[in-house]
Formats: sequence, C-alpha cells, structure tokens
Amino acid sequence: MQDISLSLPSDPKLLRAIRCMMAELAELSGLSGKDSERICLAVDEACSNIIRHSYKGRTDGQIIIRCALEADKLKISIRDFGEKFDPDKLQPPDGATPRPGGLGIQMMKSIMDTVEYDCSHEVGTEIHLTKYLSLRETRNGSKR
Amino acid sequence: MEVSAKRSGNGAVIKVSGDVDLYSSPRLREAILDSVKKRLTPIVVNLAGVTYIDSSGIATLVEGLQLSREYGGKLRLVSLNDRVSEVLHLARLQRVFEIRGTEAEALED
Repeated sequence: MQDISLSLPSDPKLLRAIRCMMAELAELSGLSGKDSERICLAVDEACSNIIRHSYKGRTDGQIIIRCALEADKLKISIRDFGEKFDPDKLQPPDGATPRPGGLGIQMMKSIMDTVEYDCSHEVGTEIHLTKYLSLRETRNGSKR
Repeated sequence: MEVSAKRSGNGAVIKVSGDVDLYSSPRLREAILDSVKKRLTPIVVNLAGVTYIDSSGIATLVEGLQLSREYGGKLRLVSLNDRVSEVLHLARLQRVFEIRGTEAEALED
C-alpha cells in the first residue's frame, strides 16, 4: 500500500471524518477490528490535542496526517503549524485524584507502541505514532 | 450525538447516544452542568447508546463527578458498552466512577 497523506483544517467537526479514514486505512492494513478502533482513537486524540493546545480552538489551522504501512509497522505522523506543544507540561492523570486534563496523551501511550513529539520544526509540532504489526492478530485471525 | 435529560426524584437521568468527541462533548457537559447547578443527586448518565467516546467525553464525566461531589452529590454511569468500558480502562479511570447495570439501580441511594 502506498503512503497516504491528508491535509485538513483544525475543525473539530472533521474528527469523525478523520476516524472514518483511519478505520478504512487500518482495514486495508489488515489490522483486527479492535486494533483499528484503538488506532482511530489515538489519531483522534492527537488531532484533538492539536486543535485545543496548538491552535487554541481556531478552526483555520492546518493539520497534515501521513500514514505509512511498512512490513512490520504502521507509522502515522501528525503535523501542525500552531503553537509549539510541550507534552511534558501536561501531567499524566492520577487514578486516585482524577482530573480532566492529560487523558488524551495517556490514552495514546496506552494504544500505540511509540509516541514521540518532534518539536524541532521552526513552526508547530509533529507527533509520530507507531504500531508494530508483527505477531499481531489480523482481521482474518492470522498472524502477521 | 444526542443528549436528553429528565428529572427523577431528586436526581436526573441523562441519556447519551452517538459519538462523543471534542466537537460534541460540550453538549454533554452542558446537560451535566445543568443538573449540577440544580444540585441534583444522583446524576445518572446512561451511556448505552454511545458508539464512540474519546478523552474529551471522559473528561466531561470526570468534571461532572468532581462538581457533584462538591455539594455531596453523586454521579453514576449506567449501561456501559464494551467500547466505553475499554476507553475508561485506557484512561485508567474504570475504578473512579460508580457504575451500575440499570437506571433503576443507579437511582437508588
């Protein structure tokens, strides 16, 4: 499968469309339904964080999602051109004293094998998500 | 997403269906805050019809839970499907909420 790239505005109305696209891509990648759902959630969380923190709710920012399927992994990068986002500023949630902030990153890290923030761009931030496919159950029950 | 709320004694039942994400969760927040302002308890959130929920939806429920506790109230979740349960698990918040099987159970003291 060829690499896929999608550019779209930072409008929360489009999150559902992003999830639909990611679900199709995950199916083409042969991922199981459960993994597909989780990857959709991880990408949704990344885009939601960009809308909230990088673009501060602005709907005219640009988000670029790139997906690459390699032999053993699905790589997704999500680029924005808003305010640089420092994930270290968001404390992870504590189950004993729950609070609304920081849940998205917590969930992305639970779902993906790696979550990396690239703040080296002159403008904006790029997040790299990786899910390894080897020995993972695929949609038809076989092992990759 | 659809949200409906109705009074039940001193409490309220809020039914949610569809996708709860950054776009739609403000409407769920509005419904919960309306019950909080009236100091209703218990606030029962029925999630049976939820087809998708992300961290903004979970954060809305956490906020409602905390605000209801401030006046000694309770916020309970009811009819969680597998999808909602898994997201609560991923957020490591599955033990934070009181979860009941039915609205009738959730409305009991």
